[in-house]
Amino acid sequence: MPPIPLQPVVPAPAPTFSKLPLELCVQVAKYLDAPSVARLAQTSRHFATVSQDNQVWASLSLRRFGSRSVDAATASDIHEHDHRAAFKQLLLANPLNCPAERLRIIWLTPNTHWWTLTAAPATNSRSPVVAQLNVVHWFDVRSTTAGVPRGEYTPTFRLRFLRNAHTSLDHVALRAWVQTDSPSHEQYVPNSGDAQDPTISSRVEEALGQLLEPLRVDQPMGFFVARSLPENWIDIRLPQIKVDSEYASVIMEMTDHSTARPKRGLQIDCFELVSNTAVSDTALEERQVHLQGQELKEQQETSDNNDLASPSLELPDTVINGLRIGGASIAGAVRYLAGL
Amino acid sequence: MPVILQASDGQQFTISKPVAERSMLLKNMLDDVGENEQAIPLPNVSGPILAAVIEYCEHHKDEAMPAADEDDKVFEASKKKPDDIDQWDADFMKQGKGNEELFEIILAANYLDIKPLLDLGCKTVANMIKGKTPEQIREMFNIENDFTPDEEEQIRRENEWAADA
Repeated sequence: MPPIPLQPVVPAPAPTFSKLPLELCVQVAKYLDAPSVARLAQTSRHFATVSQDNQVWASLSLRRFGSRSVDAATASDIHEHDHRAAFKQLLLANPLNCPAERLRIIWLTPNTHWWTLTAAPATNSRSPVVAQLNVVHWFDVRSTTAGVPRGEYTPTFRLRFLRNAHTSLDHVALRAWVQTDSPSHEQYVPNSGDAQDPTISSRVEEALGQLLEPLRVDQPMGFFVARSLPENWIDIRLPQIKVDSEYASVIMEMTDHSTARPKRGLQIDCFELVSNTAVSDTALEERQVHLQGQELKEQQETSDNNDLASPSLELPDTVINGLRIGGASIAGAVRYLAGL
Repeated sequence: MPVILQASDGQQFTISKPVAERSMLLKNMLDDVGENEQAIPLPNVSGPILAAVIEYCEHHKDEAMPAADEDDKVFEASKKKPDDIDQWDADFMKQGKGNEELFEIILAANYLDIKPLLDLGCKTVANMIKGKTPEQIREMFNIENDFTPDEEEQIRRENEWAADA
């Protein structure tokens, strides 16, 4: 049978990205990440329109924040399921640097005996207010950051010890882990016996001692010898953790469930995920400034100036147990700081 | 019974029914019209592009069809990651395909209603865009910058918050 004669078709011009129907450009943009959508928007008017499409942001938000995105888009202060606004709001609520006021601290009530939020001391603080432990018998401090992009991060706890910390924080455990499944249903992972495991604790203390030794030698007039505690915050870094899916939630936790004696003498500035992934693009230089506003920018400038003065502790990879990537006791550090 | 397709340039392709049915357009057409020895004209698809689309459908002919209402299932969508491309598909998109062929495949997949191929094409373009500056994106896809300097500055500011999100 001869083929049906075709109607003459006007030869279509070779397709280009700009000439695709808007709907197909939207399909492409749905697979981008937020910085790429932002950069695509700056190429032309057509793509500026594409990048505003609600479907694009619904997809980005869902991939990054899971079912939280649905809740955010239907929140009362979001106008008619504006997914772009909801995404922005979720992003602000999940910074890599979790300041003290966003930490979930059990016992954080306006009670002078437990925890208080107090104005940041005039050192290298990142947060406008910091959490101060007065006296408790056990505590849980946790940050949950949803939508952390693929990459490698060093969980960094920015802490300070006050004079009366001596021997009271022997069983503090620090942990960080990546949670990829069901980000909406966060599971509570109780502090099991690792922190009390004497072999681990002693290994950690030994390692901490080694790390502190050079500091002590280099700063003969510093806090170790002078019996005064450092003004600056100490960054305690856990072994690097890796987010190997597109996005995941990362939880950082500092706990002490031992009930032997009251805990005191601790201040927390922030829990931070320091990205170790090289940032290649110059367009990315303005990191965080627009996310967290001018106030934080100023604070970071001052803190950058002080960074050299900030002692830090690298903890070895001590606990690899199920979801927990790293864990350590800071007891050794406290002894060193308070006992010398 | 085989199905005969005719591309816009008159080139004909004879393919098996399961291959043709990867295309929802052809599937519905075959369901409605029944089996037929006449060639089905596809005036929107050129011969070389139709050949590529058929190659894709041949390779995937035994896979389960995606559910028609997949997009409605909000939580399914969260599994559709942009970097979730299998090796054969990635190679298929690379082999001697310039931008022009890539967009023709996207248009053909859209027209023929082959959702997995449309998604594959869109993911491929998305992965080309990632990590590039606006100027690099313009160069890569021949996009004309039609902003006035004021508009360009305004759009840059409007997008600052997402620059390193």
